[in-house]
Amino acid sequence: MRLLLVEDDRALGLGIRVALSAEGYTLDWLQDGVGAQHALRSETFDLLLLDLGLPRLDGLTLLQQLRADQHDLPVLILTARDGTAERIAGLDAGADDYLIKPFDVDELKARVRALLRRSQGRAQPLIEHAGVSLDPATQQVSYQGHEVVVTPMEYQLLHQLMVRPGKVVTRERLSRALYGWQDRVESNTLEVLIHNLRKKLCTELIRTVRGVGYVVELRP
Amino acid sequence: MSVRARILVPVLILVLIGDVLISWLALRDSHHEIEEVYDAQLAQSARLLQGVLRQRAQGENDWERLYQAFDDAMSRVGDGEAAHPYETRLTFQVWRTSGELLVRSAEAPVLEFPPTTLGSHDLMENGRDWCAFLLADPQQGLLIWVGERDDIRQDLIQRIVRHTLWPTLIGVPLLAALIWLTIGWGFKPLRAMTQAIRGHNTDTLQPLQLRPLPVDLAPMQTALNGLLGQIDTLLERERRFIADAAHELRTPLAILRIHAQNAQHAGTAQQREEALEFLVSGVDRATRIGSQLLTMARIEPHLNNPDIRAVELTALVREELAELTPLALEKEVELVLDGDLDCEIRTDPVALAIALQNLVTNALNFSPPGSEVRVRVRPQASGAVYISVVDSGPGIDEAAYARLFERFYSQGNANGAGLGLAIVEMIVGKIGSSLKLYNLPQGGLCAELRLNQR
Repeated sequence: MRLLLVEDDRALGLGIRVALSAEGYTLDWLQDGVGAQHALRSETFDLLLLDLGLPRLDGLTLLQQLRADQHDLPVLILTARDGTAERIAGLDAGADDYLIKPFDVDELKARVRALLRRSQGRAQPLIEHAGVSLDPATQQVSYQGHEVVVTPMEYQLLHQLMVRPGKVVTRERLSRALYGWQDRVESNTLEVLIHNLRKKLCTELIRTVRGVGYVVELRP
Repeated sequence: MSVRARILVPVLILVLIGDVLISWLALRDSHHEIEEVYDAQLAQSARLLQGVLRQRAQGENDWERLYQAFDDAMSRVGDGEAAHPYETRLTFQVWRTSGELLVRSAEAPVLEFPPTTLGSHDLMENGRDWCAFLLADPQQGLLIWVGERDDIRQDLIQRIVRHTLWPTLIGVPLLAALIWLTIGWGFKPLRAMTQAIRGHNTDTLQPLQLRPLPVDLAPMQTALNGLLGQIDTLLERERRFIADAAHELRTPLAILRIHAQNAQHAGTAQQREEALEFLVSGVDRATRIGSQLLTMARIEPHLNNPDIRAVELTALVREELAELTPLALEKEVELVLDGDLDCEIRTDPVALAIALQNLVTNALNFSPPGSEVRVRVRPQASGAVYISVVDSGPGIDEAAYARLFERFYSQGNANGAGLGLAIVEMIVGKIGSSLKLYNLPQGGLCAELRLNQR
């Protein structure tokens, strides 16, 4: 899952990055509104964590432009503005949720999970398909009732594929979702992860679409 | 002691003293005048007697008949119906010029020989005072004496005078009561004002609008409204400050919380160590924000009444730099003062020192180790003085220039409280100076403070 954090305070941004990266999310972090606007136009993210008081372009304006562009990315506002009127303004501008600083890290993680779940059209916290079950809260995977131990990277990859059964996810999107901009990615890392998952679960679950990407079969 | 009593007591004392004085004067005068009237009455009676004596037939010496007539007319007062309470009982006697007594009424004093004084006189006989009138009639060769007892006369006079005192005795208490009520009525606007003020509390500090307002209460209302206005401004500032502080402390608190929780959840010792380091620097930052907020809260009211005086500028700058030397040493930045010229300027030293402290601290915080921060004092011919603080840090983002002066904007600097420039700007505006920030072509930032001669 690839998240975009827009927060101008360095110390807070670092803290959020540490906390969410530990959950296995890929977090890209920008410190100003204009940079975020460019990134949102050219890249794909699963969720936006948005501070309101941003240099160069105010967070609320950024959000309004995002919605005007027909972008339906889930947005969680992180802000110190705690007035009811401001919360209403934030939600009306198109935010999906609103978290007031200082916030509890576990609550932040839970809200991120809930927003991602909703955006994937699920009400159930567990992602289940073809005997495989994923718990985003604990990042635990089980296959036919038995727990399967996976690494955080493997979990993220499986998660990306499992939330859209039957839809082909491109290699580019997968590698962006897993690594963001930060790390250099070895060209064959994706193949290694897919190989491991097939071995741990079952070979037929993930099908390779040559030259495009991977898909979890709707009916295996 | 109430104002009403303060007015009433002296007024009553004055009224009382005035009344006693006036009454005493009136009594003395009326006593005297009444005496005169009675004396005149004696004289008149003597002349009446003289007239009657002249009417007697030549050679008639029937003194007994005359005596009876006079005695009836003069001594039997108060008998019968047509009596007047203030009539006096007169006595009389008549002598020949030779001193032979011809007639004497029964109550008249027994005198060996007629008195020597003609006209009104007092005399004493047998322990009694008498008021008398002696009339000489050389034509008939008679001395006519009419008199009355002084104690009886005094009794009558006292009765008359006592009657005149009654209104005064009743009048004074009545007057006191009326004055009391009148003062109360006069104080009505003051009571209305008290009521209006009592109706105010810190939530409703609207100015008083009393109507009708007596002329002498208008200055009081104006002064009170001025004070209310000041209190309102002060409370509003406090409220804004508290709201701002509470709001802006949320970000530093969020930083503390997230790093604390990251430390709790850390998987490795190294991650925990990192999170704890962030936590410590977050605490430092929150502390700085706290102390800068306090500086701001203290300087704001001070700036409304700046303490403008002649200041030795170079000495002041040198002192401030000396205080910041420990920070410079810690940052490994050299702090240099240019300008040994003594120059004096009229300004507020406390505010200027705080402004300077903030500018130099900023410069030190943004300077790389090994560089220098140069403070220059340059007096101008016009009397103005430029103080510039030059660093070799990253300079400022021109796009964010306007936001630099916003409270709590710290250009993403994790150590900044974001209040330094806001404080400087606040001070600069109030002490009649100006601040310019610009990036230098060779890199670094120049913060230039222009102090105008006040």
